[in-house]
Amino acid sequence: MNSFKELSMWNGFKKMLYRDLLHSTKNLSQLMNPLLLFILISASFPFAINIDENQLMIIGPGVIWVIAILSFLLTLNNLYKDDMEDGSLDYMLLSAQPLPVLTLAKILAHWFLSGLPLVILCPFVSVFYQLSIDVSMLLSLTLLIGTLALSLIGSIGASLTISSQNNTTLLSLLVLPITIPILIFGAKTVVLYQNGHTSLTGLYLIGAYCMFALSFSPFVSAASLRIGSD
Amino acid sequence: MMTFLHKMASPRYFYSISQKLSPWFMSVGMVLLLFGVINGLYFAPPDYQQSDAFRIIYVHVPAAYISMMTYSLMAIASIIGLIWRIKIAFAFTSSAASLGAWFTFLALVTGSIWGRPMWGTWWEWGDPRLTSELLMLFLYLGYMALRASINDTQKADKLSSIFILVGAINVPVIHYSVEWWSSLHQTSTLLKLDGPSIATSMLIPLMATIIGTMLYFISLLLIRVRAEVIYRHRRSKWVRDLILEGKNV
Amino acid sequence: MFNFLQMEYAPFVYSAFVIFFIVIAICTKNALDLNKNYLKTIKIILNELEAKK
Repeated sequence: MNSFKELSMWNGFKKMLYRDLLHSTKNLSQLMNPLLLFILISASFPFAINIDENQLMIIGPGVIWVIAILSFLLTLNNLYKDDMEDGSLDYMLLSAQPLPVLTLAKILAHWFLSGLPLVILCPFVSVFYQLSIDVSMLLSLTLLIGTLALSLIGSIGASLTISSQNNTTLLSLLVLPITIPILIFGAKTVVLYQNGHTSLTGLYLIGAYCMFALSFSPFVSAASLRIGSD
Repeated sequence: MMTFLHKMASPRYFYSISQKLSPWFMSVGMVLLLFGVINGLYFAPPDYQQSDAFRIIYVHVPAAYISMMTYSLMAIASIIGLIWRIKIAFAFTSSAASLGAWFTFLALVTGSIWGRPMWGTWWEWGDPRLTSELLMLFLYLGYMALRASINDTQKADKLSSIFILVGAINVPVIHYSVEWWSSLHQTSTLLKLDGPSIATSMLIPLMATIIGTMLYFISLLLIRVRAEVIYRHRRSKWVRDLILEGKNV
Repeated sequence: MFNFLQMEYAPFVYSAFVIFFIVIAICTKNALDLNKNYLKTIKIILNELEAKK
């Protein structure tokens, strides 16, 4: 009777999540590179423009958001490719667990490993743009929900491009148009807060987008994985 | 009607039908288009608010209609291809993509040219219709890039169809954006419940250009799908008979 | 009718129409060329198949 518990979806989800978080094939440097890129590009921006404090404060949230999205998109390339190359994708396809459960677990693990570090780094990076503490906290909060939405949408792009040749930038090209609403709402929320409006409707809108993506992204990724890897 | 659609799913029948239909569509479309353009440029009265610059409407609106129409066509064809596995639907999707991209580009460019004298700017980031139309151009380009990057035709068909369906939410956003958000565009004048709110002398060339461009577009689409169909089935017997011996399909 | 060059905003209107027709001409040329190229390729392939038979 115990074996029934082992076949449950929650068990499969848990095992896949732990596997990706703890025993994934990524080494630490592969995880650190996009984060270092994030810090580096955010630091290079003020060099190119006038180092006027007010100007930096105005453009800060938007710039940080764009750089966060761009460096996050770099991490998405290997979401399913690593599994395809070492053969575990075939095991995922053949397993008794429904594939959307496994893809959701992979997406969450990817968010923990690549999205949360961005959120943690964000207050430090916003120092470059002279943002005050409350603004940078709000920025981190929008990034928190926004990176989850990005993980979800990005996994659709990653699953569509597993069998593509020369797809270094194809994934970004496919995913960026769909993630523009997140960018708009995320950056605008912080900018409006900076200008004095205290209602955070933008945050709710990002949350809504994230929930919407959550409702279809695992299924679409699963379908694309099945088509793309046979 | 349903039998006609059923028969269209067969590549051979489609090939022969489209060969007969497309010259008609092209000539009628071109005639209507020219009639609309000349009428619109010279015989329609100048608008009291926008004087003569409003005449760009006679090219801007058809281009915008067609850009949205092709995306919807591609979405429907993707659904048909993915669910019912009718292979010719994928030929439609891939042929419509580059036409749709061109017309979206045209809509953006003519709109920008119209915007310069009217709103004072070539581009306006706050206008939701402009940004979502630009998004649609990127979706078309992304579709073509995704298709080109996958070597296996069947995989490429299905995966790019999934991509089109994911982006299909953009079409209602473009259409209703003028009602949901305040924008420089005006709300719809043609498809209102109490009749179009535009003067008849301006309406006639507009309908002529819209319908003419649509017919012309359908003829171009039929030509491209024909080429795609015959290329996909190049190893089958009916193609061999057709090309080598000039037998009728 | 005789004032067709003196209408207001004439350069804008005319350039929009010209671009429209240029794009339509490009699309038509693309479609017809595609047809021609595909037919040429298919003829080559079929002739090879026939020669092999």
